[in-house]
Parts: sequence; structure tokens; C-alpha cells
Amino acid sequence: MTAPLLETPVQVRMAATWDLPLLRGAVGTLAGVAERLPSWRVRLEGVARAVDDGDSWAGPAALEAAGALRDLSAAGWAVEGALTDSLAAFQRLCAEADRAQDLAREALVRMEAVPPGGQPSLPSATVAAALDAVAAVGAAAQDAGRALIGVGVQQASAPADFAALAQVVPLANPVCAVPGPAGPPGAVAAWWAALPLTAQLLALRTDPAGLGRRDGLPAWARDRANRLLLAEALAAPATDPYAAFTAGVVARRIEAEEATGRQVQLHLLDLAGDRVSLALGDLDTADAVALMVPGIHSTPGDDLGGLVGDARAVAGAAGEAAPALGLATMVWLGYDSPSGAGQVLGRRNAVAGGAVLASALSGLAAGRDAVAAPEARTTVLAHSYGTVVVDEAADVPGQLDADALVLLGSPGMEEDADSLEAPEVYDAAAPDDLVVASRWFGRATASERFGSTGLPVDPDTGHSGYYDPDLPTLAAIGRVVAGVPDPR
Amino acid sequence: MSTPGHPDVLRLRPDAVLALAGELTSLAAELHEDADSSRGAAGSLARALDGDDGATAASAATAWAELGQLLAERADALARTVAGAVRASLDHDAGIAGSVGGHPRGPR
Repeated sequence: MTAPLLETPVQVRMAATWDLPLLRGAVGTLAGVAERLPSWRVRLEGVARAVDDGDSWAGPAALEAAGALRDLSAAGWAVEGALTDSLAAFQRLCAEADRAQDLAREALVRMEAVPPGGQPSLPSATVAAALDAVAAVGAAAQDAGRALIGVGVQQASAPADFAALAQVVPLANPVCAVPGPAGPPGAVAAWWAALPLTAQLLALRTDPAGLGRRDGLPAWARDRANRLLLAEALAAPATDPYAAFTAGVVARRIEAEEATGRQVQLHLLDLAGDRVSLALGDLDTADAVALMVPGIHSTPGDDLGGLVGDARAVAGAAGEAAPALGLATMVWLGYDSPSGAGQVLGRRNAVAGGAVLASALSGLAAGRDAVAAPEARTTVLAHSYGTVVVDEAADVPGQLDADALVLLGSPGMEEDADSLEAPEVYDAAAPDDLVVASRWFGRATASERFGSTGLPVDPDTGHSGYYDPDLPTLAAIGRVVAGVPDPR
Repeated sequence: MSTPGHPDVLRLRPDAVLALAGELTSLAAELHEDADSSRGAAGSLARALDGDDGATAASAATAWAELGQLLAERADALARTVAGAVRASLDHDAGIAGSVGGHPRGPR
């Protein structure tokens, strides 16, 4: 018969003395490194795309540089994935170390609790559990290293240089595009952010029609896809005449704006559905975004030029309010604007358009969330029937992704400002605006019961002067877009 | 949107391309910092756990640092190459201008 083992295993005694706050701090540091890498890669890919576009630099050297940047992006993408997996192992290590130390300390305390006249006895079950947890810590530490094998880490050493790393990176030159989810915007954004630039570019070339309208994709990607569609529509002799007319209007508008040095993003081009969204500025990086929803009888072919003029005016007003702010203003003709009495007097177009608007706003927010980019202040500027579209967008399940709503010349809203789900709701209702006076769709936005903040109007504002630079509402709209406190 | 590799096109907007090189330099610096942070975390892991497990975890974190370093060095190298290409192109152009005008000019 052997004597019972009275000594605690060395692993258990060591676990009892681990410095867990130091461990958690180290893993927290690694988590910060892993979390910053996606936004680092997004910025790198911005440089890669700028070279790839060839607008600033073209020629053989630029071609080589573009390829080198794509390779670096692909390597960054691969490292990002490996670090994510490795971090998960480190976090498991932390949890197991917590458990192991609790059990180890419990075992030691029970060992020391010798009854009077008795002998110390080893709490074998607790010791066994502690040993299991210690083993799990070791396994997690091994896994943290194993997760890096895919990027060439061998025996705890990374590849000797970048060339060696690039050799082991997968998907540097993808041969097929993955279709990805159609929605919701958050899932689309997460899928897109997890692709390397080379796969993103291939996907855009392969399916511009599917990606150009997919909410959740970053604006640069939608712009690239929609410009491909635009070029195809302009080049194809079989394009429907009305679609060809609209395509021509869009192309000329882009050319005119870019000729003055403005950045333009074609966020939506649905020629068959007669829907277009065009942004001035960079929707992906702007500090403040204004999305303009027009009212009835608005079509890209007939109205894009005028509406982009309004977008310029809003950007100018916001720029005066906050000169250092990065701005993007988007003309959103993303819904079927009503025409004809039957549509104009009913909510059907607004119901359908509201769902599309809510998704578009979610998409803008999700695209930034997925790459940990700073959020933009988002303002929806709705005019006339566009306010009814906003009303319906707020009825879509889920919070409306807008910081501020501005209701201009509204024909009435179903409920009150609180029901619109935005922290700030403003209205401008001119006294001689007959559409406002009609209250066709509900409660007057200027009424106290509605509860919005009134912006200044002028007797000359009428129904179509809210964006007029010579009238007072525009400056106030600019202050709202810029986020100036009390913009009245 | 054009393309950088069209055989008939040579284009260079120095300010814009130098701005891109500057962004690459910033990106490299940020990743160098993160590589340093990962190295610091490796040391902490070794001290916190002690023994083989601590050494294993520290090795993994050191590999994080090395990977970050590789990316940072590559971004830095590309930034220097791009900026150098712009300067070389401007110097070359200045040289040609001097030859054509009959007033030889030194490099910029």
C-alpha cells in the first residue's frame, strides 16, 4: 500500500501565482492590434485604388506600383484573418487561466485547512480540475501560434521578408468571384470587409449590376460597379432609348461636377427602374452626410441637374457653418417618385420607398461599422412627398440610421416627431406653401403637437424655395447638416 | 476613371501621388507602433504565465509583432519608392526642359 500523495503538483502551484491582470492587459493589447488592422487595410486599399484608377498616375511604373499595393493588401488581409483566429485562442487562454487559478487556489486553501489532530489531505478532484484547466491554457497558447501557420509562421518565427510572406498568402490572384449575401446590409458589409482587395475588384468586374445597388457595400465599390454599368449602357446600341437618355444625363452630370474638381460617387444606377443616387464628396469618409429625398414628379433624366445643384447648395451652407468638416451630399432618387394623381395622393410609393430608404441608410452605417471607420453624422433632407417617404421609412422595423431629419414643405405626417426615430427632427413650413397647407398626409409638421424644431422660412419661400441660397432656410439646413447646436 | 497601365498614357500629378506616398508612410508608422505593442504584450505574457505556457504564448505574440513589422516595412518601402519615382520623374522632366530650352538645369 502506498502513502497518499500529499504534495500539490507544481503546475497547480504555478497557476496559483499567475499574474492574471498582466495577462489580461497583454491580451487586451493584442486585441487592440487586431481591431485596428481592418481599418488599416481599408486605408491601404484606398491608396491602392487611387493608384489603380490611374487618374493621378499612369504608365508602366504606376502599373507596377498598383500591383505591389494589391499584393500588400492581400498580405494584410491574410494576416488580419490569422490574427483574428490567434486572438480567439488568446482570449480562450485568458478564460482558462482564470479558471485554473481559481481551482489552484481552492486546492491550496483546502490543503492548508488541516483539521485539529488530523493530517493534510489532497483535494484530488479539485487538483484534477485545476490540472485540466492548466492543460487547456497550454493548448490555447499552442493554438494562438498555430493560427499563424497559414501566414508562414514556422516554429514561432514569421517569414523572413515580405516576399516570403507573399508566397504563402492565399487569394492574391482569385480566379472566381463569390456572390456574397444579398442582405441585410450588416451581413453584406461584414462579407465585403472580409474580402481581400483583389477579390473585391474581381467581384465588381463580375457582377456590377448585383453589387452596384447592394446596401452595405462601401460607396467606393458601388461607385465603381455603377460606373461600369453606366459605360455599358452608353456603349450598347440596344439600350432602351429612355434608359440611354437617362444614362447620358448621369454621365454628363458626373463629367461636369468632376471637371470642377468635385468628387462624385454614383451610388445607384438602376436604369430599368429609373432610379439614380449621386453623391458629391466621399460617403465612406465624410464627417457629415446629407441624403436628399425629393418629392413628386422627380426623375433622374429630368431633375438630376437641378437636384445636384441643391446638393451643392447644401454642401456650401454646411461648409460655411463648419469649414473644416468633411461633407458628402447625396441626391437620393432611389424610390419611384409618384406621378399622376393616383400615385401623388396615395402612400403606396412612399411605403415602398420608405423601405428602400431605411435600407440605404442602414447600408451607409453598416459599411463603416464593418471596418471600424468613424461614424458620420447623417442627416436626411426630405422635401414634400419625400417627407412621407421618411415617415414610412421610420415605420420599418429597426431604428432609422439617421441623426437628424429635416422635413421641408411636408404635406403632413402620420404621427409626431418622436415616432420618426431620429434624435433630432426639424421642419420648415412656409406660410404660403400650399402643399403644407393641404395636410393631405396627416399632422402639420409646424404644429406644436408634432414636436419638431422649426427652421426659419421667408414669405417668398413657397413650396420650392427651401434650398434657395437667397432665402433663410438653406443656411439653417447647412447648420443642421454640420451638427451646429441650435441651428435655428 | 482611367487605368494606370494603358500603354499609350503617361500621367503624373506630383502632389496627388506624393500625398498617396505620405499616406503609405503614415500607415507604415502606425503598424510599426502596433508591432512594438505586440512585442510588449509578448513580454507581459511570458511574465504573467511563467514557464512553458508563458513562453509559448509569448512566441505567438512575438510572431504577431514580426508579421506587423513585415507589413509596415513593405508599406514604408513602397512609400519611399513612390515618392522617389515622383522626384525622379520631375528631375528627368527638368533635365529635358533644360536641354530643349538650351539652359541646362540641375536636378531639382
